[in-house]
Amino acid sequence: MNALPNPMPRPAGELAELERLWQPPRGLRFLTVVNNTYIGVMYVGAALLFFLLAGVLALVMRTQLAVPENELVKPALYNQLFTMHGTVMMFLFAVPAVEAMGILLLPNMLGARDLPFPRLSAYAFWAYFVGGLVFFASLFFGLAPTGGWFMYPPLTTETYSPGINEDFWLLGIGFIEISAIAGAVEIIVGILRTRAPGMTLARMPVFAWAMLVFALMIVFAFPAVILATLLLELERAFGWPFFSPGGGGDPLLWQHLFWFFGHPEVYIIFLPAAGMVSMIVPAMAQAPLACTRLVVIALLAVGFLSFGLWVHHMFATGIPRLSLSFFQAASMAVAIPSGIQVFAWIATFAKGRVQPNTPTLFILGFLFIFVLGGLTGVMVAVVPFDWQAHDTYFIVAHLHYVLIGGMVFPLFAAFYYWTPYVSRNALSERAGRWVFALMFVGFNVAFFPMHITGLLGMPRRVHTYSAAAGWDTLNMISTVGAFMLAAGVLLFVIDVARRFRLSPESNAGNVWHAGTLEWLPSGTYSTRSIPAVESDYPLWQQPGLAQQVEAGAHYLPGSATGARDTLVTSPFEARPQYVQRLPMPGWAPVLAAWFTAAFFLLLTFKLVWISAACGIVALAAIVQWGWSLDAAPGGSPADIGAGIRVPTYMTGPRSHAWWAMAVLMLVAASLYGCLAFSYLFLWTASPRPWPASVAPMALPLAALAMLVASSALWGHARRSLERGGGIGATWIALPLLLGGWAVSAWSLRDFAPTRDAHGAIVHAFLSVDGFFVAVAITLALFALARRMAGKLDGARRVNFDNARLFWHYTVGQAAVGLAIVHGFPRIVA
Amino acid sequence: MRRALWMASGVLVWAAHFTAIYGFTGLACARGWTGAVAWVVGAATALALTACVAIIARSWTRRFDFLAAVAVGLAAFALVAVLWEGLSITMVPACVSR
Repeated sequence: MNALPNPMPRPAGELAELERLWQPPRGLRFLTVVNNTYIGVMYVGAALLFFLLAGVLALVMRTQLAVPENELVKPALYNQLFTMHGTVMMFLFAVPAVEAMGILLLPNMLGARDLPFPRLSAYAFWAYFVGGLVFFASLFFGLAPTGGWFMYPPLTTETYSPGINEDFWLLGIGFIEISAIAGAVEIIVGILRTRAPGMTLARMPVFAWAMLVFALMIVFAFPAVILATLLLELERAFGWPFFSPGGGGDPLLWQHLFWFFGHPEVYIIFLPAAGMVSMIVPAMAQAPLACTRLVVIALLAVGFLSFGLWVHHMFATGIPRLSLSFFQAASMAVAIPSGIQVFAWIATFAKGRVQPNTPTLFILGFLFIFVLGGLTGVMVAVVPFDWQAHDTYFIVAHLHYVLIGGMVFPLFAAFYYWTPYVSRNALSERAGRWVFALMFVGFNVAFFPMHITGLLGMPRRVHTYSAAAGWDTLNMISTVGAFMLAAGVLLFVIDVARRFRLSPESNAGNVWHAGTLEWLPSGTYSTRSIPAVESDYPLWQQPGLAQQVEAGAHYLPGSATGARDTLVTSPFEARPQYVQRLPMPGWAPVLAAWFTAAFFLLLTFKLVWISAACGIVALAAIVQWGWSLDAAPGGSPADIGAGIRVPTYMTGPRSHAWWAMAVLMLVAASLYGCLAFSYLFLWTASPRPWPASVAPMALPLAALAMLVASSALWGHARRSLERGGGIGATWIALPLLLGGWAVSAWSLRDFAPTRDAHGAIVHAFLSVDGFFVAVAITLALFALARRMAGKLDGARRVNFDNARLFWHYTVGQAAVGLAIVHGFPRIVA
Repeated sequence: MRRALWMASGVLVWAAHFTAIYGFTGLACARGWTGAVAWVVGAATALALTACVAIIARSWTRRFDFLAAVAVGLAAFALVAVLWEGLSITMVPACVSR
C-alpha cells in the first residue's frame, strides 16, 4: 500500500465547509436543488409515476379485451389508449428511467462529487416532468394522439388525422427528446472526464460503460426522430409534402427515419439495464463479473450493430429482398453479443455464492423472460416468418418479453439493490419476494398466451374481436395475468411508501457488501475525499479504503476553490487535470424548463401569443443562466494531495465545456446526416426526375465565400485575443454569416416548399441552416456583450471558445448543405 | 481521439460496409443496374473482411492490454456480421421484392 494522498488528521472545519457548500436548499427553494442524488431520485420517481399511469392504460385495454365484442371502450378512445400506452412507456418511462439511474448513480460510482453540469440535469428533469404531465393530461380532454406510438403517415397527415391530437405527439415528444439529449451530454462528459484518479477505462464499472454507450446512442439515434417529427409537423402545418405521394413525397421516409431511431431505442433502453445487471450480479454472487472485458466489448458491439437493424421493422413494406437479407443477417449477428452477456451473468452466479434475495430473484426472472424474448426476436428477424407474424399479437408478446424482461425486471432489481444507497432503510425482503412472485407469474400468464393468440391471427391494435374467432379464452387468461402483474407493482409501491426515506447523507449503506465506489460512506457532497482507484472492485480489493476515504485521506478532501467543485481527469487513464467549479442551486434552469415546456405545449393549442410570452420568459431565464457561466478564474492552482497541483480554471480542448460542445455538434451532425439521407431517399423515390440545376452556380459560390470569410474572421479574433487584443472582428462576421444564408435562401426562390418534395426538402435544409445561424449569432452577441462587460479576456474565454467552435460548425454544415442542394443535381445530371 | 478510433475501427469498418451495400443496392435497384449488385456487394465484403482481419492481426500481440483487447473483440464481431450480411448475395436475387 502506497502512502495515502493527504496527511492525517485533517484540519478542523474542512468537513463542515463541505457540508455547508453541498447542503440542498430548504423550503420552496428545494425546487432549485441540483445535487445529483436528489435530482436522480426525483427523476426516477417521475419515471415510475409515468410507468404506473401507462400501466393503468394497459389495464383498461386488457379489461376491454377480456371478452369478445366488449362495449366498454369505444374505438376512438381505444386508439388513444394504445398510442399513449406505447408512447408514455417508451418516451416518458423507459428512457428517462435509465437516464435517471445514470444521474443518480454515476457520480458516486465514478468517485466524482457531482456530474459536470448539475443545472443541465435539473433542466432536463423539469422539462421532462412538466412536459410529460401535460402530454399525459391530453388524454383527459380527448386530445391524445391516435396514430400509434410510431405515428405512421399517411394516417397521421392532416388529411387523415385533422385536429391537434397528432400535433400533441409531434411537439410534446420532440420536446422531451431534447431533454433526453441534454441528459446524454451530461452523462458522456461525466463518464469520460470526472472519474476518480486511477480509474482507467479498463477499471471503469460496467454500468458506466453501458451508460456511455447508451448516451452515445442517444446522440446518434434521437436526431433522426427529431428530424422526422419536424418534417411531419411541417407537412401538417404548412403543407410541405415530405410524406404525401401526391406531392412527390414518400410515407416510407417516415418509417426509415423513425426506425433509425426506434430500433437503437430498444437497445438504448436495454443496455443500461444490462449494465445494472452487471453491477448487481457480482454483489449478489460476491464474486467479480466473469469475462468483464468481453462484456464491455459486447456492450460496444451491440451499440454499433443496433444501428444496422432498423429495416427489420419494415420487412412487409416491399423493399427488395436482398436489402431485407442484409438486415436479417445483422439482426442475427446482434444476438451474439447479447448472448455473451447472458452467459457472463450465469457464469458469475455459478462461480460465486449466490444470496437468494429480492434483487437475485428479479435478475433470474429477467434472464428467463429476456432469453425467451430474444429467441422470438431471432424468429421475427427471419423474413418469411415475419411476414406471417407481422402486426399480430405475436409481436405484442415478443416486444413485451424483450422490454419488460430486458428492462423492467432489471430496473426492479436495481430499485431493491440501490435503495439502501439513497434511503435510510432498505426495502422489505418479505414484501419483495411477493412483488417478484406476482410480477413474474403475472407477466408470463399475461404475455405468453399472446404468442398463440397472434399465431391464431389476432391483429394488434383492434379494440375488440368476434367471439367466432376463438381468441376469447386466451384473451381472458392474458387479462387475469395483467392484473396479477399490476398487483405486484401495487405491492411494490406500498413497500416504497412504507420503507423508502430519502436521505443520501445517512443512508442504509453497503448492506450487500458490494465492491464498487457508490457504496463508500457518503454525504450530500458524495464521498469525503476522492479515492485513488487501483483495482476493479476497490471496496473488495483495497482494504481500509472506506475508512481512509471517510477520514479525508484521499484526493480533494475539502473544497479547493471555496465553492462546490470536483476533480476532472483525463479520458483514458484518469490522471488529474484540473479542479472544476460546480454551480450552486438557482431558479434559472427550473424556470427555463417550465416555460420551455409551456412554450411547446401551448403552441399545440395554437395559442401563439401566450406561447410566445412563455418562450420569452424561457429565453430570459436561459440568458440569465448563461450569463452566470464561466466564473472568473479563481487564482492559484489547487493542491489535491499526493503532491499534485492542478489548475482551477480550464478552457480549450481540455475543458469540460469544450467536450459538451463537441458532443452537441455530434448531435447536430447526426441530424444533418439524416436530412441528407432524406434528400437522397426522396430523390430515389421521386416519380418525376428532379431539376438538373437549382440556381446559377454563382449564387451558392457567393454564399460559400461569405460563410468562409465569416469563419476566417473568428480565427482572426482568436489570434487577436491571444495577443491581448479585442474580438471586434466578430462584429463583421455577423452580417457575413447572415448574408451567406440569405443568398442561399434567394437561390431557392423558384422552388416553393409546397410545390413538391424537392422544394420541401431543399427548404428543410435552409430552415435547419437558418436555425443554426440564429444560434451562432446569439452566441456571438453573447460573447461580445461579455467582452464589453469585462467578463471575457485572454484568460477567461470559455464563452468565446465555445461560440467559435459552434460558428465553425455552422459554416461547415451550411457548406455541406450547399454542396448537396446545388452540387448533387449537377453531378447526377 | 486516435486511440478511440483505433479501438472502434472494426465496427467502423462494419458501418462503412453496411452503408455501402445497403446504399448501393437501393440505388442500383432504383436505377436498373441489377447485374452490378452481386459484384459490388461481393467486392465490398471481401474488402471489409480483409480490413477486419488486418485490425485483428495488428492488435493481436498486445491483446492483454485493454484497448487492444477491445479493438480485437470489436473487429471479431464485425467480421462475423460482415460475413453474414455479405453471404446474402449467394442466396437471394437482387432487386426482387416478393
